[in-house]
Amino acid sequence: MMMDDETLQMYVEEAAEHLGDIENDLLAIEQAGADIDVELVNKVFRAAHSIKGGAGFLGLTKIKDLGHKIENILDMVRNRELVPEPEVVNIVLLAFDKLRDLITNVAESNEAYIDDHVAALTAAASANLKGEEKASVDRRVEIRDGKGRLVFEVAEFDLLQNKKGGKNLYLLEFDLIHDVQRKNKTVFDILKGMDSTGVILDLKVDFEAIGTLEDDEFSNRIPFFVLFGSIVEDDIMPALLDLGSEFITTLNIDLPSRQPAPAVDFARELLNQTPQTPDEDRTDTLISELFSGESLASALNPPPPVSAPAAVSNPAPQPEPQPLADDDASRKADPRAAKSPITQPDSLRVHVSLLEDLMNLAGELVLSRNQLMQAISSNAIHQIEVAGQRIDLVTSELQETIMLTRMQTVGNIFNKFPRVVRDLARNLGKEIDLQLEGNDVELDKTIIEGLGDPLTHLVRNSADHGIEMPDVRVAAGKPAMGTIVLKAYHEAGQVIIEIVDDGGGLNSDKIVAKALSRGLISPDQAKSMSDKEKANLIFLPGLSTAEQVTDVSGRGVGMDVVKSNLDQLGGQVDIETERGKGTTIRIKLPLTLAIIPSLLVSVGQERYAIPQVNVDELLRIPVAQITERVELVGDAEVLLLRGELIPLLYLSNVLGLDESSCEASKMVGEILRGEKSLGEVQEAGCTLADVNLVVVSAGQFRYGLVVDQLHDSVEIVVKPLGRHFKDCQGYAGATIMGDGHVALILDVAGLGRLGDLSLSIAREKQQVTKEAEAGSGQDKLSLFVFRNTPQEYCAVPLDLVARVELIDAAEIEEVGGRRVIKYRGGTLPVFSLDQATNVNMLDVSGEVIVIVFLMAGHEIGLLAKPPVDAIEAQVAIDSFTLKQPGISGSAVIGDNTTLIVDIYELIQSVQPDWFAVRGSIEIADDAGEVGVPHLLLVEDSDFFRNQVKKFIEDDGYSIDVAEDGVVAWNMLNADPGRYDLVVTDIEMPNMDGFELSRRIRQDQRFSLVPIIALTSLAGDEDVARGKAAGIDDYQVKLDKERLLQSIYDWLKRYAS
Amino acid sequence: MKQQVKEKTGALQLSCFYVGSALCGIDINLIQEMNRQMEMTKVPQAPAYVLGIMNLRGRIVTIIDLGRKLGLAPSKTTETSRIIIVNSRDENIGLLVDRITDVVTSKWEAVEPTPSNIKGLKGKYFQGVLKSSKDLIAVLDVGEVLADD
Repeated sequence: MMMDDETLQMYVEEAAEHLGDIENDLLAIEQAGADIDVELVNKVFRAAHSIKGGAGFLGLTKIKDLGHKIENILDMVRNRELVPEPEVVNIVLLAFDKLRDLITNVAESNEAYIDDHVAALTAAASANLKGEEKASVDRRVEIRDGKGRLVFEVAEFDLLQNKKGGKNLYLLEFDLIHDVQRKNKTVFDILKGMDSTGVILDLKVDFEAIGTLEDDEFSNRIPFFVLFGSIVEDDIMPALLDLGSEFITTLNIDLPSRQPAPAVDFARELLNQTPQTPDEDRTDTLISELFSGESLASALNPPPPVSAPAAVSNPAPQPEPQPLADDDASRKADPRAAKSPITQPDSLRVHVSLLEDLMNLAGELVLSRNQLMQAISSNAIHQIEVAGQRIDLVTSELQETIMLTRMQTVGNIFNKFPRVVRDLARNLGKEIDLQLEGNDVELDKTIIEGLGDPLTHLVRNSADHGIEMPDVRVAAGKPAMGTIVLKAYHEAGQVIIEIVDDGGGLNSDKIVAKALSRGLISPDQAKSMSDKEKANLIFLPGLSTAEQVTDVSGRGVGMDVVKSNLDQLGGQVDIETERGKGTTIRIKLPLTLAIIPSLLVSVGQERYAIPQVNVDELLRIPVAQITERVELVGDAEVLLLRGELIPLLYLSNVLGLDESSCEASKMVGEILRGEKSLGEVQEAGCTLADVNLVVVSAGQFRYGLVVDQLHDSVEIVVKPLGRHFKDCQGYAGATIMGDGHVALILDVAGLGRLGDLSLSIAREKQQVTKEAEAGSGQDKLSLFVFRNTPQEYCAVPLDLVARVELIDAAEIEEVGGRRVIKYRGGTLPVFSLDQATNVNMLDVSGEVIVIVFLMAGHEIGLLAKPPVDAIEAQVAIDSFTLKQPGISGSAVIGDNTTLIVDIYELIQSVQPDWFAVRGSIEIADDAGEVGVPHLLLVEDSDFFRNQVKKFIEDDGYSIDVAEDGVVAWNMLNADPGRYDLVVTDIEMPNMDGFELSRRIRQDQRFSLVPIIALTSLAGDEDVARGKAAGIDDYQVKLDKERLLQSIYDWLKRYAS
Repeated sequence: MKQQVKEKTGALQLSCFYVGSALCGIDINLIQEMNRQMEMTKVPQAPAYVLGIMNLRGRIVTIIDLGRKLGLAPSKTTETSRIIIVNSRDENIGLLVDRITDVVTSKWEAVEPTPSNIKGLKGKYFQGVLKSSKDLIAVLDVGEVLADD
């Protein structure tokens, strides 16, 4: 092979790009059947043609031959001589697969074994030919040049095909030295030019001609032969090609060959060919591309961000398509196919404008550096600052731009799935429609590369085990054709990939049974699990192995591997399934792995970085509350966080640090075990600091990581650790901090494993507390505690607080008889408790706290004095002793009697005009009697139940209350016609709001009753879930006015 | 290993240093640089002979206590301690040594097989020994020392 590596590399890249979309195009061709889309066929034809052309020039004979055969078939399809039936397309697909193999292993391609493919293609072509033509496929025609040397040997069929199209055949002899190099052209230019006027049948550089000196003339020529078919007449050819007429030989072939096996020496018959009617249509379609302008331009224009070699050579667990017999044979016969491809330097196409941007930024960086150097040498502090800021700016921009160069579209992986699913569906006898969405969503190159395997696995699973057989589907009332949707989209700075099928769904009972039998969960745990948790058990390692393929509805085979693969990419996977309806698998991925936002923490002197994606929240537990907030379960310490139990892990313990003798870990443990009292620990000389912890989660792990100190959140550059740390589980890499120090990046999942955390501890405990809570009958409340005067403790439910600000009393202005502060570019009305209720006067001086509430769409601030605190406690509210307007009652919190502020009443008295006056509604009941609407309020928290009940009653409705879904359901059933509207909480014991709504909707008696959900959580996901369950409207608990409006609106609708 | 010594011929320049009381040398071609920067970050859970990681002009370099790796007690860093940065399998790795001496020029042919123990150091980490005018220099087999098993 004479070509330099660069040309070859370029060819391989081009070819890979051509091959990129071919599968999907072929599948589309197959689907269209006899009703062919000429454009599409042409596109595939051109791809094959370009690959063939380049291969011929580079001396890659096997690639050329195979490409040529494929081209023949496609040509016949295009001319409607061959219907692209599945069998035919299959042969072509397999041939393209082989072609791809050859190109990946381009250096060894000439030794590859392709006869099976060639035979299959030839057979496919000839099967559709008339007898005479059929024979022509096998007949070879020799083509010789003027000196009688054999130049080409081509199938007669090919020549005839061209002939039929009305083309003249020419044998052209270029000289690489005189016609190409001296004229300052490239071979590609010439071929490209020719491609627009005709079709290149074969080409060859004749190296033999250089070596032989027998000829009289000096062989200072490198002949380059092209067999060319064109409608252009022979008298124009020399001018067209800028080639001497002596080097153009017009070949004459007779139409349907009369004699068999004609080893005709065409070149000697320098006979002119009578022109035939040019077939405009055909030439048009033949403006094909050999290293075409289109693809050359694409290097300059928006790059199809394809690094196809990577995507293509991905050794994904591709389903073995039911191979053709010959394909199977070829694989066996060709051991090279199994060899790993020769490693070629990875290359990536980058948009030129992106490079320009980078150049500009680099220029700016240099300028800024010069400024900085100058400023430093002249010691001009201000200028140093300015330059520093500039560099800061330029660096961030540079970083972003460089990241962009690494971004690739998920289409790179998605596009292989139509083939995967098609083959699988064929094999399984299923009908599956695969829909791709969000092909152009971009992700970092490394993530794209790592995503191929797990996605293939998941899609295969959906097709194999998710979608049922057509007859089963029809019997279940579903369309025979199953649907799998593969989609990617952005959400909250992450990329979500979903695989949705409308198949049979997972049988969670079977999964649970399996998990139980393997001892992965305890029977108690199983009872307390939600359906979603059950489905997610499938990701537990060891849940299922290969021999259970058909057992757990087949899924779960290697799902733990999928999960661990995704974990490595920083991704999270979640599964939702509904029996008979289908399964949704959702993967959350970070945009990039190279630079990530992280939280810095420290233990002893060392700092550690925790990737922000793993950080759920930061907590500081005051020493005094340790015994309340942390409990011992067996030997493990768990944190109580809003009713959830979270195991604690001490970073110093997990990593085996023993730097201080007074670490938080020992201390907390000793106190909890009652070995020492708080006082004793303090006496031992340990300065008791508050316990700092980070609640982290990664995959199935969620735990509180106790550290000495919490620092800033910064963007860090991830650097890999050396090979000596390969056995260290706890790190994801290292990074260099601003001061030059190195900090380790923690791997949250790895630490969880190191810490030997098992899910079971927390789960078991969860169960216990749930029961305990149910038994105690006391309400667990999150309260925001503040002071009105130093002795007057007050509290509001934390859920109602929008924000808290610390201001100076001087900032409060009195305008138009009202107190306001400037706040976030607007004006915020503020008031103090003493304005609306009977408490001591607030001392408005010095530091003042403003507690901001959101009410009826407006913001309002309550003035208070520090210190403030947020607590979570079980409190018994006394709603009698200290009750007065604006105060709903009192509770003893800590050692202080604390007034519980009724913020609704307060604001109503301060800003009465905010609250709309609604008319009253009357609804006819079953008996036709018209009366006040009856509402049912379902809410598990006593406090909220009383609050909400009160203001609903105040608005003139009759209301009954239930403390959970089960009670509510019984009440509904007891008197089916009674309730006109249901207001329900979501998170409740026994039966939650979703389930209740579902039941109401499924029951004909209540199906029309409006349901308003009352919740403190209203993420988009929850809203969507709620809508699915039949909830009509979502209202946030803290907004009384909106809730009442919503009740009014829905009742009105219900009444009509 | 001993084979290697025989195979190698030609000029040899050894950069010499002390590990404990033993004089050792590394083929100077393998050395990227030497420095006295001792600021490093400990990596808990790492093998005992790994001292930590260090920032070397933006690259993360693993620092190995050479004495410990060769079978001595953990080294103490002193005024004379230095870190020799070698490049091994596309990774920079630093070796902490007690004191750097000079560069000795000789020939590979002069390197003799290693005794099983050189002043308390394990013989398998050496390619051989070289007799210089006053002392015996143990030629370190960097590949073996930095193997991560």
